[in-house]
Amino acid sequence: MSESNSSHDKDLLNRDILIHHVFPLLSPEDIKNVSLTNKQLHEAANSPSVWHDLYLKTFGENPLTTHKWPEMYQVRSRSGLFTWGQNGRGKLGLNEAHVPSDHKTLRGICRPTQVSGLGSLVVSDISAGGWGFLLLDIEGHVYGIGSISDRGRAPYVPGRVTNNPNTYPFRNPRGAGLFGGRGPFPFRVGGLIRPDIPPVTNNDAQPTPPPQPGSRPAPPATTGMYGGDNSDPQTDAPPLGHGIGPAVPPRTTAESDAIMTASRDAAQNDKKTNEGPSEEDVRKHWLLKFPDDKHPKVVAISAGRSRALALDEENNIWQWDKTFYDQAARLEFSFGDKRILKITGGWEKAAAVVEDVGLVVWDGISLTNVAAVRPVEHETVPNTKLTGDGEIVDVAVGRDAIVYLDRKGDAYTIDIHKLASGPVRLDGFMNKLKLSDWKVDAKFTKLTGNLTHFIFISDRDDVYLTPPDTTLTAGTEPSIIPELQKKGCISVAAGDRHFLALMKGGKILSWGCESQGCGDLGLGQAQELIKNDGASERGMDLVLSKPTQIRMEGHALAIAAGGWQSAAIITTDDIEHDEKQ
Amino acid sequence: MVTLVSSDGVSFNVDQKVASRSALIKNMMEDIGEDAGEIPVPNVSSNVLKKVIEYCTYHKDDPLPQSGEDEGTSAADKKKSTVIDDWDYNFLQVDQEMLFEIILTANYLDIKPLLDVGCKTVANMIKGKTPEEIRRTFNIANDFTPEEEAQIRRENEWAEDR
Repeated sequence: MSESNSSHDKDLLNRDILIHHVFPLLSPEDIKNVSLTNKQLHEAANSPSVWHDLYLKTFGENPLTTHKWPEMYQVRSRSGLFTWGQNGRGKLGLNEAHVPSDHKTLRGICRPTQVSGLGSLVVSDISAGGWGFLLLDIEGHVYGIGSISDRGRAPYVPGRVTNNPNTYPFRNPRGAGLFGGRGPFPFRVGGLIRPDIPPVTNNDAQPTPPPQPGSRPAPPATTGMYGGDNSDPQTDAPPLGHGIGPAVPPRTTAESDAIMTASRDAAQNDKKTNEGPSEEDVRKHWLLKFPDDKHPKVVAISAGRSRALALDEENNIWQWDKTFYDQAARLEFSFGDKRILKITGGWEKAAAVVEDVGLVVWDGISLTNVAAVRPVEHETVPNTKLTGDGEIVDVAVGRDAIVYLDRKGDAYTIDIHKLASGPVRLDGFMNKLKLSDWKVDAKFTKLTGNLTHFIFISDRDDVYLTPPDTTLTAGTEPSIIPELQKKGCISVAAGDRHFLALMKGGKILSWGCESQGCGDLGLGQAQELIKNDGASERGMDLVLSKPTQIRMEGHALAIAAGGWQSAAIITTDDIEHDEKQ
Repeated sequence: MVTLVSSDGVSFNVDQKVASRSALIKNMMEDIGEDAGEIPVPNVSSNVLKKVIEYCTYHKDDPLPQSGEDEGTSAADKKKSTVIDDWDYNFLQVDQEMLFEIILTANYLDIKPLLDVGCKTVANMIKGKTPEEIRRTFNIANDFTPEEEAQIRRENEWAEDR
C-alpha cells in the first residue's frame, strides 16, 4: 500500500465488504474505533446495516424499530432489567425493603421493578428457570439470580446478610426471602424425587433449625400449599415431591397472610444492609463460577427448571445443578466434539441439537458430584439426525414432551418418556397454519415452551399454543388466542402457569393463572386485576384469560418467564418507534 | 480444463474442479456446457488471479458450501470466530494491497471461503487497536478536524465505558 496514492486508498477498504464481511467480525468497541479514523470510515461504521447485524447477533429480535440501528444498539445497551412475581429465595434479585409499596403484594412483587447493580453490564440474553434467572452479558459472562432449585444452601438475597455456607443443606433457618424460614421446605417443593437425596420426614426426625437471634420463630412447615407440580389446584391430585414430606391441609388465606406478613416484617427489621445490590454485589454474588479458574466465553445460556446450562465458544456445555454458589461441571458426551447447535435446559430433562448426531437428551443432575468434568449418559432420539429442510432449528423441552421446529417450518413432538418412538409431526398444527393465509404457505419460525406449554409463532404472525393438559399427538389442535393473531407478537414466554407476550412497539401482554396472587402477571394488586381487568379468583389463585397490557413506563425489548416469576429488559429512553412513523 | 484470462491478457489453464471453487465460474461453465473455452476475468490482474488460483487449487477437494445454508444456526456462529487455519494464514501473508485485491476478487468471483478468510485477516488487523493504531496499520489519513473528532468521541462514549 506504500506506493498507492490517495484515490486508490478509497477502494482498498471497499465499503460493502467492510459493512457486510468485516464489521460483523468485530466488537462494538472495534467498530467505534474504526469510525474515529476518518470520515469515510465513520460513515461506513455508522451504517444502520452494521448495527442491525450487531443488534441481532447480540440481542436477537427487536420489537421497536426497523431503522436507527446505531441508536437502538445504544438504547438496548443502556436498558434495565426488571423483574416481578414470587420473590422467595432472592429469585427476583430485588431488595424488598427498596421496592415501592404499591409494587408489593403479600406474596410477591406485582409490577415490573428494576434490579439495581447491573449498571455497567449489558445483558445480552435472559433465561428463566424454576427458581431464578440466568443472565448472559455481551462479554460472555453468566450470572445466576435466585437459585437453581428449592434445595441446598440458601441463595443470595439482596439486602440480607449472606447465609452461613455450612447451613444444613435442606434447611434454611434464616429464611431466604418472603417465604423463607418455613421449616425444612424453604420453598415450593417441586415434582422431583431424587434417589441421590436422602428422604426427609417431616416429623422432627431431622433437627429443627436453631432459632436465630432477632428473628421470629419459624412458622410451621407446610407442603400442601407449595407442593405440587403446578397441576390444576381444583383437582385433588396429591402434590408430587412426596419423597420429602406429607402434605398438610392448606392454610386459610388469613392464616397464611399472617405468616407472610410476619415473615416479611422480620425481613424488613433486618437492617444490617439496606441497599439494593451494588455492582460489586452483582459480580460477587451473581457471577457464576467455572472450575480450575477457567473463564470460558459463553455464547448461549439456557435455564432449565432446576439446572443451568451454558455453551461456550469452544463448543463445551457447562452445567450447574446444585446451587449458584458451586462451580459448573463440563459435560462430556460420547459423541465427542461434534458441533453443538442449540442447548435447552428443559423441565427435568435437558436437550441439545448436535450436528451429525441429532437431538440428544440427558437427565443427569447431580447434587453431590463436584468434579470439573462429568461424563453424561445421553439418549439420542431416533430420526433426528437431519439436514437440509429437515434440520432442527429450534427445540423446547417440557415435562412430558420435547417439541421442535425444522428449517421448513414444520412442528414435531416427541414423547419424553418414550424417546425411542421418535418424532411425530404435529399435523393438527400444520393444517391449521395452512388455512391461516391463503396466499402463501406459512411456516413456524419461533418456538418457546415450559412445563406443558409450547408456543409457536409463524412467519405470517400467527401465534399457536398447545392446549392445556393435553398429551401432544399428531392430531392435537392448537389453542388460538384471538388477541395475539396478526398483531405483531415478537415472542411469548411461559412460566409454570402464566404467560407473557412481547408485542411490536415494546408492549408486554400478560395472562394465565397468577399462582396465589404472587404478582407474576405484573398487572398490579389482586383487587385491581379483578376490578379493572376482569380477573377472577380461583381458590388462592387469580385467573385472567384475556391477554392484558402491563402498565409500565418505557418499552420492553425482551421478556422471560419461568416458575412463578417474570422478567423483562425495558428501556425508558425516548424512542420513536414504527407505529409513530 | 478451462482457460481463465486476466485483465492484462494472461491465460491460465485450470482444472474444472479448481475453477468450480468460484460459484460465478461454476455457473458459467454449467450454462455454456463442457466446452467452456476461454473465460475472461476482467478487473482481475494476472498476479492476483494467480494467487486466487493457488488458493482454489489447494482447496479443490473441500466440501462446497451448501447454497442456502445460512450461518447462524449454531449458537457459536452468533459470535463469529476469527480463527484461521495455518495454510490460509500463511497464504494471506501478503502486502495489504494484494490482500484487498484478493478479497475483492473473491467477492467478485463468489469464492465464499476465501472472502471469509480474507475478511477475518482484516478484522484481526483491526481488533483491539486504537483509532491511531488503525490509521497507521492501514495508512489512513485523518481528515477530521480536532472538533469533529472530539464530537465523535463524545458520541461513542456509551461504548467505551464498558
